[in-house]
Amino acid sequence: MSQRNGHLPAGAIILTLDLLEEATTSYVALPEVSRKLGQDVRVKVRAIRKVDYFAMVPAGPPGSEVWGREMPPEERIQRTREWLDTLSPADRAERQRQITAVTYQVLAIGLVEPAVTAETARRFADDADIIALEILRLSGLIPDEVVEAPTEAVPAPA
Amino acid sequence: MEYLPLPWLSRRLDRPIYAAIKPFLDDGQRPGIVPASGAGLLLTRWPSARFMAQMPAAVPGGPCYDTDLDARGRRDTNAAWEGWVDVFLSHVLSRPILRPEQVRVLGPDRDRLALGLLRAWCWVPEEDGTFARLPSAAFQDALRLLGAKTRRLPSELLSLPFPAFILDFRILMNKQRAEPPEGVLSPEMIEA
Repeated sequence: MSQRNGHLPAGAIILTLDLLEEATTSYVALPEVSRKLGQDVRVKVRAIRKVDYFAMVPAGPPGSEVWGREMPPEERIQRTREWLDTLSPADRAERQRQITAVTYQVLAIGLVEPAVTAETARRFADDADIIALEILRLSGLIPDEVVEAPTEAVPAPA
Repeated sequence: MEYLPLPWLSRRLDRPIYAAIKPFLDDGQRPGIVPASGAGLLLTRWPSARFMAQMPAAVPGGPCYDTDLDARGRRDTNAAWEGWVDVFLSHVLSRPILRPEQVRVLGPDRDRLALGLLRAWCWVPEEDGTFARLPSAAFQDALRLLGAKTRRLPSELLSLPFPAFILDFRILMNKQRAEPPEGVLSPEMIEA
């Protein structure tokens, strides 16, 4: 801390960008690829910017703005599914395409090794959701305890 | 100095991590956290009033956000807010220095740090969930009042460290409440 702001506590260290990068980097095991290859396969991921994520995701279902912050995630998922059921097959397919695209876009910016584009990220098939979830967790976009991949983007509580 | 614990980073780095924050007022009376030896620190500095006046209008979760925005409006408000938080933390973190696109390295503690700093510097939302900001009427009023009372130009006031700007403004408001307008005597003074 500068002279104006006082002194550092004894024995404390100042964090560096490298240390913080290390803290927000993780290795994710890929069950599908590992099973196919018969060995443990992992990829290296990092946190992404929230602003990038919000620029990718489609807006929530109409009316989701009045669901309230206290609504449990399970109910949000249920209501989102009910809304999806009201869409025409074409609109539903388009919505699903938008959601799937978000997964691959998340991989494109959050996957460190191997680096991928949104297009090449599709090669991860079912493992893509697992990788995306870990990236979102590292970024503070979903809580640590969420382990199951949603099939539809659920509007986050305010 | 105040130390804001950052629990997620502490777990990830296996040592206690804190953000060191020079508070709005430090009278040395409040019992605070003293980081243990070996703790990791992020150091912060005060922003200018001008910088703080450029924040987005609405904070996600504020009452106006809940009542006035549809799903698309909320998504856009979230994006504007998150973008500003990155710029804000990039601006106020003095060590390590992070560019806005690097603020992601704070992980889930990024939000905790941003809100902790705003609270420590007494930057609180209005009742409707918006912030007083340029060119809002509330901020213009604050500038006008401060300028008239301190005989300083708005540009000079906006260059003040943000906590100093807020302190000046609050002192002025308290003084206005304490002093009756000229020509009006309280009953006690009339009796005397």
